[in-house]
Amino acid sequence: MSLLQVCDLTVRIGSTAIVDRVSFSIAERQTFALLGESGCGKSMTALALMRLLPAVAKVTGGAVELNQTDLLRLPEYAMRRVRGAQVGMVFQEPMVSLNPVMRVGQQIIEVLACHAVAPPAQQQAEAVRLLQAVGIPEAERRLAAYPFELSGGMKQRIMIAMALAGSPRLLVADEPTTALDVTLQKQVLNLLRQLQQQRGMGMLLITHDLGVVAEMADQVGVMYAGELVELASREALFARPQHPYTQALFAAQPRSDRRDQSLRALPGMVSRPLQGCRLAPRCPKVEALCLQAAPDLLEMAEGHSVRCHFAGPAVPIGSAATSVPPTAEETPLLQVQDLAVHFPIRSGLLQRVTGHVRAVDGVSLAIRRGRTLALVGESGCGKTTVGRAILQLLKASSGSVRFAGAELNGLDRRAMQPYRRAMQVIFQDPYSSLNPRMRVADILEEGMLALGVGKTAAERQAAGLRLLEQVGLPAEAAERYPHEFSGGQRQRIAIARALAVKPQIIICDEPTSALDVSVQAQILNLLRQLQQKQGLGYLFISHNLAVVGYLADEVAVMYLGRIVESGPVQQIMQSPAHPYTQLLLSAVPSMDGTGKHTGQLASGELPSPIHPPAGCHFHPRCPHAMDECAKTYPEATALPGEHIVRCHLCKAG
Amino acid sequence: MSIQPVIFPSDILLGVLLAGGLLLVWLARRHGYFLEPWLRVGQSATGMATATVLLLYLAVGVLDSLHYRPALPAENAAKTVEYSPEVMSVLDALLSPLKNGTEKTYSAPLAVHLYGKETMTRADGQQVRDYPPALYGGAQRPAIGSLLLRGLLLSLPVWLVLWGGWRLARRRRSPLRWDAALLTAGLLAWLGLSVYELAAHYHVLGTDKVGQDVLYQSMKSVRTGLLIGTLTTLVMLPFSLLMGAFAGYFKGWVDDLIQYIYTTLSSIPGVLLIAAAVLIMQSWMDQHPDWFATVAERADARLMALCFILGLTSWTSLARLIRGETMKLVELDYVAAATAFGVSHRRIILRHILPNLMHIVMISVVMDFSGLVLAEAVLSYVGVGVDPTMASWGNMINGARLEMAREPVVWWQLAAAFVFMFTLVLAANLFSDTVQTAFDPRTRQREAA
Ligand SMILES: Nc1ncnc2c1ncn2[C@@H]1O[C@H](COP(=O)(O)OP(=O)(O)OP(=O)(O)O)[C@@H](O)[C@H]1O
Ligand code: SF4
Ligand code: SF4
Ligand SMILES: [Mg+2]
Repeated sequence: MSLLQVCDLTVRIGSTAIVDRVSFSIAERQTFALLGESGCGKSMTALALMRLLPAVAKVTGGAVELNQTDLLRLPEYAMRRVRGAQVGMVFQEPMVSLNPVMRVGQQIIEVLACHAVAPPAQQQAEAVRLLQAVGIPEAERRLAAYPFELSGGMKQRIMIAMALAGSPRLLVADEPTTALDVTLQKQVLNLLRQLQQQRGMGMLLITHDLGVVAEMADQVGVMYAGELVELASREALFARPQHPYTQALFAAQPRSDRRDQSLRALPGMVSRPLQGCRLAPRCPKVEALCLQAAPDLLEMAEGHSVRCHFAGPAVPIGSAATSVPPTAEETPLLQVQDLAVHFPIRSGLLQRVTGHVRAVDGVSLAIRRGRTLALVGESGCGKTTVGRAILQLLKASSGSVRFAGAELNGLDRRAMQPYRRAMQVIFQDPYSSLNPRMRVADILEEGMLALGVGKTAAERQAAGLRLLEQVGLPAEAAERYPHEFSGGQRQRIAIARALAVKPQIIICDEPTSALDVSVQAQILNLLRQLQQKQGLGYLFISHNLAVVGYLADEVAVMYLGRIVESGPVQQIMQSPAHPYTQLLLSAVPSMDGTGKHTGQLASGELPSPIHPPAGCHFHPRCPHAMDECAKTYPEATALPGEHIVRCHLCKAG
Repeated sequence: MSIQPVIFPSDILLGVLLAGGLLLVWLARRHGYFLEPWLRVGQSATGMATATVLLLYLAVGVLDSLHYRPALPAENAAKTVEYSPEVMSVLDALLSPLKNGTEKTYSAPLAVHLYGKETMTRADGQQVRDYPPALYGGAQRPAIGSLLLRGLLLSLPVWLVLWGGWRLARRRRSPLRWDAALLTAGLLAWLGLSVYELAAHYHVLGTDKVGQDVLYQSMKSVRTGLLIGTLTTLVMLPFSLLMGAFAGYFKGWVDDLIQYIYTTLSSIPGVLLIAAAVLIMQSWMDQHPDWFATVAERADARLMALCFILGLTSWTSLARLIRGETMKLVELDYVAAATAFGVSHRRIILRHILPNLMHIVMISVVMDFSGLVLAEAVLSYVGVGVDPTMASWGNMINGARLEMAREPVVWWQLAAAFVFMFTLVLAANLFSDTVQTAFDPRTRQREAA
């Protein structure tokens, strides 16, 4: 008996169907994952069945039945009772979903009162029970906290607690872990799975991450451009994906074992041809029939439906050029020694410095020409700060940054100018990294102008066009403004801007974490190709270990402002020595689709860099902590093969 | 008849402002991002309707800013042309019947006789005490009804033209709400033509204490209100922009200093500061009567000075807004990217900060406008506003205040000033609301979501 039955649901904005005849059903205790890239209509589907669509979007057809009642025909007052009491909802951004000026306890009690779950006298106790259920320690004390006092993972737990307050039968989770680190993602996913088992809820899980699907889903629906293109059980989907788009999603996953080839990404971006199959402009299997007739969603095997004329085993996308790693030079181009950045905390009337945020606390790195050094770690561990301090966008408190032997720390604006050409940066957020008021041509020209690359305007313009071609954008892009481009295209523009001054080192601060997998694959290919051609050195800041395993040559793992382990990528990925690295790796969802939940559970969260724990910073979370760990910070131990680790365990063994 | 053009400083500034407006239009045509919010304003009926009203006011103000001195009637065919000492404007010329059709004293709107009874000698020598007839409009006046009808008939061709315009807009599938603008224009044309017909024979809004036509005065006041509302912002804008952007960009001691200045300034009660400044300026002008050739020149100088004083005392709130927004912008990655290129501070402020502050500037300019128009009225009422000889709604209200106690009440001066000002302020406020929603980046996000 299915709990939720969605039948031919269609949502339109203007005349375009952003959700086009989508049908699926969810049984009790079942998790249905809706998988797709940004803009394919997954969130709109969820909002439509909660009847929370923005004013511009209208449901123009279909039915949504929850326990045999059609939600689309309920009057609004009855629908309000359905939300929360029968369907709970968890959103992507825990930061904006909580009211910042109300204590979390009040907010939970408000929900309890609204659904009359408990009599007023017992609401407090019920709220405590809920917080305990979502694994928040010291629940009583946390009720009095304001949202800003809590970390991101904590806030997401509270959102889940609130969604559970009305004991819903169905939980709708829209990208519940996208804003979180791998470790927190693991914790939250485990929590969701546990709660679902206990309460026998159905769950609609919306995600763009195949890893999350592999961990959580029973049934999977793959969406492309508003349509469901494949519907299958998880096992079937991971074993035999039938639709070319699903196959492309798998092929685009960066993995360590694909290091020596470029990723196979679908070319171009999502478009909606007027006629025929929507994937036709990008599909590797496209034939004449696809351009004329749109395929229907047909059942291929028991419980496995595919929308494709030529469903079947995958054909390779393009040619996967094997990449030859460039020969590395021995002397590092950029050498960072004991770099520290301490932000002063000011308080009181006179704004006296009362403490320091030790964002970066003694970091040493070396970047070689033509090589990629990855800097990994949880959010807030100081990765971005390292990058900014190297670029001298922030003043380092101590330590040295040497470029080709010359000390950069302490140089003033003018003295720094010659080195600006050598080091450039690509940022995470493609939306805030380009000035919306400047044409692409001006954006590309800016650096050349400031650093005196290219003498005449014509020369610079020609260089700009060459750069656009290099990053795979059409020449006419030069005349347009950033808002006319998609996230991936903007990231290409940002790369072109960095390349404009012919740098030798590029600091990439999570350049793909805001992008979809297929776009990520395109950008990773581009970065790698540029490195091979121009011998660029990359400092690749990331929290995505799959990407690091694919792209990096060396890895440095950072915890609370310090490097705890560093070495060649194979060694770190295959035989991590530090317990923290082990924990990070075990938190990466396994992609085999068997649904085995292996690995130790990452517990706890990153402590505050204002008062780091004594001894080894990691000891409160470390499964192997010993007495000595709480007392002294471990010395660096050299393992064979330039593998360095800071852990008392390794020293002992 | 030959004329000698006269250009007052305020005329120049108004011209600069208009040129600035045209420049904006040009910019908007070149840069999509600038045109887009204005198109959104045009897609709202309120925006288009109020813009039409504001344009009408602007037209009156511009007509009143084209100043000249007419030649005096040539005496004895002398070769040299003498010009009148009185400065006229094109509006004066257009309204000359109203300007010259003065009475002896008060008369009510549309009245055929004056306000107070007088002892008159009739043709037969008998003395009677009665209301003297109004001089304006002649003895044989057409009835009001027939004049209104003529106004309606005259407006028919205008409606026809507007209807044609609407058809054109429909055919071109213009996304703008031309219907609202054209409807407003039609209604205004009907009202204007009716008043025009009436005004040929009646004082539509009565006369004031010295018999001047109130309608004429109200129209003359339009320029004063517009100038105060716009020039003040023009004066204050560079201050607010630079101070705010500097404070937000450089932080540290620059920020401390600028914050200190505006916190100090804004903790002095505004009216007090303005009153003090105006009084100083006034006495200073009184000591140097030789600086000004004509009364009008002097009044104009005083108006300009008032704009400056208002501007200098009111830049703080905008500066504060700009400082906050700049601080947010500085944290954005594209500023970091520019810094990584070693782009100079000046260029970063010019190319990355200021263009991204434009929406705040736009919003605050239109929002401040109505407040400033009202401020003029209040200040003139208190006696520290524009020159008493200058036509302004504040002066009209000030003049009317003593007469409110009379029986029957002399209400029309106050009412006229009120209606004219209210229409302008209401239109400006509604317009600024639509501008705000159109320029606010959050609106776009909401639409995109
Ligand atoms: N300007 C600042 N003033 C005070 N503290 C700061 C400042 N910038 C960063 N921090 C703090 O320094 C620490 C490290 O921040 P950083 O941005 O380098 O982390 P990160 O590893 O890049 O995280 P993420 O993965 O979320 O990008 C955090 O605790 C952060 O709150
Ligand atoms: S129908 Fe044709 S174009 Fe569409 S996915 Fe299948 S093979 Fe590709
Ligand atoms: S030093 Fe101790 S606490 Fe730190 S990682 Fe090693 S075993 Fe764990
Ligand atoms: Mg970061």
